Amino acid sequence: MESAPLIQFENVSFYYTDEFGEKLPVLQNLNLTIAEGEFVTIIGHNGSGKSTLAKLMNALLLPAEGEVRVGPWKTGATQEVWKIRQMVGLVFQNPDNQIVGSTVEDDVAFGLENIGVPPAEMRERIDAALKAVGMAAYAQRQPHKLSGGQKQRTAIAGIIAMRPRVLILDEATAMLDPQGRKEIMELVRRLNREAGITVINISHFPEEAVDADRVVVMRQGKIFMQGTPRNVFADVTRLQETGLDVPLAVRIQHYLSANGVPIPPLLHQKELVEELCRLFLNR
Amino acid sequence: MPIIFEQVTHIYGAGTPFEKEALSAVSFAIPDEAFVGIIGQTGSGKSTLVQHLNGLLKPTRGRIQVGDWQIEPSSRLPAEFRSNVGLVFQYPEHQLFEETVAKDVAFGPRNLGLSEEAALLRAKEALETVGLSYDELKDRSPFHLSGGQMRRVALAGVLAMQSKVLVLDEPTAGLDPAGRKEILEAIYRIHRERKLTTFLVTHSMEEASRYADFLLVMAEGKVVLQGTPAEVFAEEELLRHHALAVPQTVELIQQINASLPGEQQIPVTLFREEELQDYLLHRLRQTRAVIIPE
Ligand SMILES: Nc1ncnc2c1ncn2[C@@H]1O[C@H](COP(=O)(O)OP(=O)(O)OP(=O)(O)O)[C@@H](O)[C@H]1O
Ligand SMILES: Nc1ncnc2c1ncn2[C@@H]1O[C@H](COP(=O)(O)OP(=O)(O)OP(=O)(O)O)[C@@H](O)[C@H]1O
Ligand SMILES: [Mg+2]
Ligand SMILES: [Mg+2]
Repeated sequence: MESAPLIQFENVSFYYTDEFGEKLPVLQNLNLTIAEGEFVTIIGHNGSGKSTLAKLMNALLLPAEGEVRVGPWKTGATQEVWKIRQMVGLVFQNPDNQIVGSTVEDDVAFGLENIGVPPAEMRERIDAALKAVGMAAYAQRQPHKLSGGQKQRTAIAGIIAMRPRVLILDEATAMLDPQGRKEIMELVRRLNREAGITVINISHFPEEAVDADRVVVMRQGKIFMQGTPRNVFADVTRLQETGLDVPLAVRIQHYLSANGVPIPPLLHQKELVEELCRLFLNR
Repeated sequence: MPIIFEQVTHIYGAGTPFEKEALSAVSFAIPDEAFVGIIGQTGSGKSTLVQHLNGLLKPTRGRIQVGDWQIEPSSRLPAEFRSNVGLVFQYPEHQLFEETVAKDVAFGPRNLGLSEEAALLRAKEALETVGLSYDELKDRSPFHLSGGQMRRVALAGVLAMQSKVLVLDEPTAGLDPAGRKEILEAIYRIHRERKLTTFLVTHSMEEASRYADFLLVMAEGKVVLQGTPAEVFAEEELLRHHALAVPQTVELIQQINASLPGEQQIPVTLFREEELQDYLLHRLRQTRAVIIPE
């Protein structure tokens, strides 16, 4: 699965400039490598810099210091910004900032026209993408007259139709019901496994991170922890101290273990169920 | 404030090709000072329903009573009605509009006739309630913030109005886990201290079961189930039928129960995480008293 780095941050710093021209430092000296085919989940407190990091990955923002390399390009020193955006598709945190079409299908078509997909192929891609996110029945509807979750589904369809090599989801399922969120995460996992698409999922739901190859934890503009979900979530206290959380199964294991119950560290709910049954049945 | 919906139907774009009946003959009665959770799939009509509570939308048919006010299809509502119901929109950007965070949060109170000073004081208080520093953010543009920070500012703007009815449309979407907990705890405290009537739209069964006295379950524009959290979660089949899940704690209990003999089953009413944890610990101490130190 591991292969050449596709995205590489080298000593990246980034500032926003406020209304008075003052610099607001956001990212400081950040290093990060994303390999082709990887599934990375990014978690972190509000304002820790996750969305900023995402926008640096597709050249919507450029580093103030350091370098961001995407495929063969350095985002700060290339004219090929459109090629970068074609390669790295970003689903925005707020779908209103992304949706432009006057109907749901026009909106998906807009992105495809931009990257020069031939009309004959467009139809097929639009239908497939809307079907994949469960919005086929809404193709003719006006996007601004959809419910909150329907807008998010539309925004996701717009990006997956473009078949980017890297798919970044910036809290793209925050407005979906649990079942809907599960379905979209399954879709994304399938794109990762079957089509080899690199996925970067930004989320406040620790449950969404358990199946990732790697979890990156942001804190105040820096990478605070990273590793496999099993390793990162094992450090319950450290995560909770920074305002983050671990999956329910890990919380329960941690509580029981802290109270003297002989139960080993675990990650998945399935493992917790097995351990508890073993203890209850005195096996 | 007691709130009653009687056969409320809402049709968007009536008479156009895109006509959509988003609420179909919805009826319920909520007593004063209740904390109401509203759950339901994407597109089931939750946002449409709550926008009727402050008169932003009017029923196409049916009747709504909010305290002493009546809302009917042709009603005109006085401005003072709106100030009684504070609504936080699903997308915070839809309600932010001032140049600075301080002005934005102070807008509501100022509009209620408070002095500049008193309005800013309320803004400061409300920002602190949602975990933001007034001094750090007061002069920043509310649009140049992170998603979670914008959500907090929008919430503060509504809290600063100190209205008797509080309507929150997915207020915790986009908040980090600590923020979720702190802000909901603060809202719950305010709800009780000020004796508010509160509506919380949420996709989190955990939040719904923790704070609400009463749940409304929506599906395809109808209220398909209503009752206390315990009553609602007992209707697992009906919930599943509408593609809704029981809280994760209940799911966990069911998975454990599947491997335990009848007399050892864990009650599914333990949907509060702390209660479940305590119960598990207690049971394990009984089962394996020798091994686990007290
Ligand atoms: N356009 C902007 N102008 C100025 N400052 C900004 C702007 N956008 C974000 N910031 C600031 O940069 C910091 C990082 O913001 P960012 O949006 O990257 O955070 P985030 O981790 O995505 O947070 P959230 O979980 O709330 O979405 C925050 O302190 C925020 O206030
Ligand atoms: N302005 C509008 N015009 C036409 N139809 C609309 C409008 N707003 C919402 N709808 C439709 O009405 C139905 C109910 O929408 P509503 O926003 O109330 O759902 P919701 O339960 O809040 O969903 P979500 O969880 O996704 O926010 C949806 O099918 C939606 O597409
Ligand atoms: Mg963000
Ligand atoms: Mg809604």
